[in-house]
Amino acid sequence: MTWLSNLLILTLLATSSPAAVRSGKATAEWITVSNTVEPGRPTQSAIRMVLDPSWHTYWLNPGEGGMQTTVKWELPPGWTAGELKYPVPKRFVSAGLAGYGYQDTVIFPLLLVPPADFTGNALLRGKISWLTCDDATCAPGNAEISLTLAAGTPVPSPDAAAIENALTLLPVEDSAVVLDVVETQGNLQLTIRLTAPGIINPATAQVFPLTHHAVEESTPIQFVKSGAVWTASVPKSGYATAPLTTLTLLLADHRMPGAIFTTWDKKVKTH
Amino acid sequence: MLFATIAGAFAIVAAHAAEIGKPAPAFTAKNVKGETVSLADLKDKVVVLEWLNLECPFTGKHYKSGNIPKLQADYTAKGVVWLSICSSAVGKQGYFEPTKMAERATADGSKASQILMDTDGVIGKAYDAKVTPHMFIIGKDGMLRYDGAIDSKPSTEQADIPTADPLFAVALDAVIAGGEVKNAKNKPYGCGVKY
Repeated sequence: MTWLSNLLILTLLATSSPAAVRSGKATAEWITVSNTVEPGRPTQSAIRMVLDPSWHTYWLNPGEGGMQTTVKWELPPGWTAGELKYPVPKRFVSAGLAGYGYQDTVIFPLLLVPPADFTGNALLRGKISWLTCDDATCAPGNAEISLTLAAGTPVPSPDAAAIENALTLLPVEDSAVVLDVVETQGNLQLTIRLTAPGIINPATAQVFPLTHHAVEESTPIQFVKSGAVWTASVPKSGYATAPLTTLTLLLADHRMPGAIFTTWDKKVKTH
Repeated sequence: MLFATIAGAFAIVAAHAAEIGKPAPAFTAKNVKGETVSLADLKDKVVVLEWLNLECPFTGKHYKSGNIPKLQADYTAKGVVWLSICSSAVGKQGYFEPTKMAERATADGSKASQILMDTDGVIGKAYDAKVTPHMFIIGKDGMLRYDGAIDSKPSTEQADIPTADPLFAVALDAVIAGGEVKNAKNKPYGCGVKY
């Protein structure tokens, strides 16, 4: 669990700022690697959420219940924001429903690009909506967060190390992890093949389905080694009525660096 | 048919699972006034089951916006029987004593035909009600016709209601018209039912 401990230590070291907004059972804050940015040069920022003890919030696929966090950006003209990046979640069962999400502190990196003619200061705003739940209750959070950046030579902020660390832990797509899916009578037979050895061990990795309503979330996915490949059998979601056409899994092994997304797409038959 | 009774329970439920196109599990429960309500007595009616937790923010979205009260008023006027069922266990979120539940629901604008107490969760489990609000529709023939979400936008924002696909209302219109329900089973969103 060293990477997790490192993340925790780094995030605890980061000083809490008055810009943290409290709503529901969490605070949210827009942090940056540098308060000064160069015109036209992409710069990293992040949303840091700190959850009350015993409360959790949700991943991109929230699971059987829950809700994905969403943000609406209000950026000055010429500014662009990338997608909010989600770190590796944890699986939990809350109020009888399997879910994927985060506890304690979580950092969602976000790439920002200032306009090429950026001078002076820019005030960036966002409206973030999340759901926090514990085993008994759910409470929504809605916060207006903001970040002021100035044109200038970048200088690492107190949050820079935490953001850089969060970036290194983000899952990545890796075509060397090849997923195949065969559907049989309400079950999905999953096969993973590695075209480069040692990048991940599917048998010890935690497996999270990114695709919504594909697998029965109440059943954890567990791969086992079978000759040169790894296989798993999972019940198909009762909400997936048509044959499955795509499935993306996240594999994360806390003993290995990096978590990997792998995607299967059904081959379209052409006549 | 097999019936299971639970000691000290309000509700009696047929022991088979809810499945689209199959007979909806029978049940008998007490409403907030202490009267007995039986699904069997609602033959030849279209029946809506709405899982209710008035303290859940997803349920709050649809009550405070007036969306569920309007659906309740509009469809009960067309002869639909709307049963709001609270499966919160005693002491859990959304549980109120029956009289308090009635007051609270009225204050939130409820126009349901009945509010049923399923404190032991047996009706909820028979239907596999997962979240609040989780919506079910039973046809006049007693068959389960819809099991899913109230609409397509899983958020707690009232502003999302007008732009969401009203999955449940579309299904209910189809059941009333005697037509086929498309998307009869979809994933509901909300707070987990507090069994």
